[in-house]
Amino acid sequence: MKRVPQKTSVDMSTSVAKLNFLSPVFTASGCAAAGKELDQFIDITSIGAVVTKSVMLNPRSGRATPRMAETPSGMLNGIGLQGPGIDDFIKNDLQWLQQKGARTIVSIAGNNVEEFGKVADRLRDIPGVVGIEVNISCPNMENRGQVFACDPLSAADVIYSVRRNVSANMPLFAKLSPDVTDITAIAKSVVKAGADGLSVINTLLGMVIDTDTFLPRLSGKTGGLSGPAIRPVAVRCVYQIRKVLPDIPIIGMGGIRNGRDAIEFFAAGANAISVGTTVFNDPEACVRIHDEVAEILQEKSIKSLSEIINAAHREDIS
Amino acid sequence: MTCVLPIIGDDGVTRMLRSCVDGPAFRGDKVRWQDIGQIPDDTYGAPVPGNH
Repeated sequence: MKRVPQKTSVDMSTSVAKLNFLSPVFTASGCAAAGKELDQFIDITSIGAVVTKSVMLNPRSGRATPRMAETPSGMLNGIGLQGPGIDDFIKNDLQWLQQKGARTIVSIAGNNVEEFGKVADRLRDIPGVVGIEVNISCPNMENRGQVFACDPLSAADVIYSVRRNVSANMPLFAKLSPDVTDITAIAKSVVKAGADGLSVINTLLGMVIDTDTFLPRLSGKTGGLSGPAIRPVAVRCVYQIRKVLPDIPIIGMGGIRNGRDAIEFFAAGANAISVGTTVFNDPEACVRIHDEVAEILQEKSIKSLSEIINAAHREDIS
Repeated sequence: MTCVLPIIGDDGVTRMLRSCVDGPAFRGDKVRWQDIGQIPDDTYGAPVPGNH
């Protein structure tokens, strides 16, 4: 039987960029494909939203193996954005999600600014898509491979391009990289360019070397570090952004594996959270974490999740 | 090493398939054994020069 959240007296609903969700727990892009695999374990319509793996304009085979390596309290991955391309994705994956009734946030990526716009344009008027997450942690192939998310102007260019190609009321979330000196500068820049919310954070760039062969473990040499090892970095980023952008909706993510981890993100300023790496060893994690948050709040006689959002910013805490 | 393998489909096209989802077992004659650990150039969605 598929797991669904337990009944609770705590109001677990949340509001993100004019969207209301009964659960504040979403999947994290790249860790649940387009929901089919997870739906064997949980009712994917019972979680806040399915955030799909980043899709690009054309089909991609991804990188050669090895693509993943275990690290202390985390995982390194360099999949290479394997995917079917936006047209097949709409025809197969999105149609399946729509038939299930899952609320879907589509993550998109591109090799250049124009490609982001084209992918976004294909998503116009597709039923079931409640938002678009823009994965700006891609190298800009027209600017020496510099990652869009690491430069405020490049990041803004992508968001402008996507904004121009979707309907005015389609919520856009820019997914930010922590691999920058000042994440708040990137956050301000993408919000000015038209992002309605922020997904914080993407993986950190890392490397693992095999000490027997002396070679990098991943075929792509470097990869994205995720899992509990990055959680304090993610919480710090959410906190810093909330401080400078008090009203911007934030989806927090990075190493969340239980209810207490999730509560850190809400207190730092996240309106919702995405659960990723932990899903690989517990496919029920999205529902379990929802239940654990509700249980902790109930124990503390807190009636609503909204009471703890931004709680770490109270003036009486130094 | 993650689960993808180059598998020849019924349509003759090679795709990088996940053994955890599309397997766990594949017909031996459909696996491109000599190409494991790489992306054959004729794979569906193989890297295009100039893209990342």
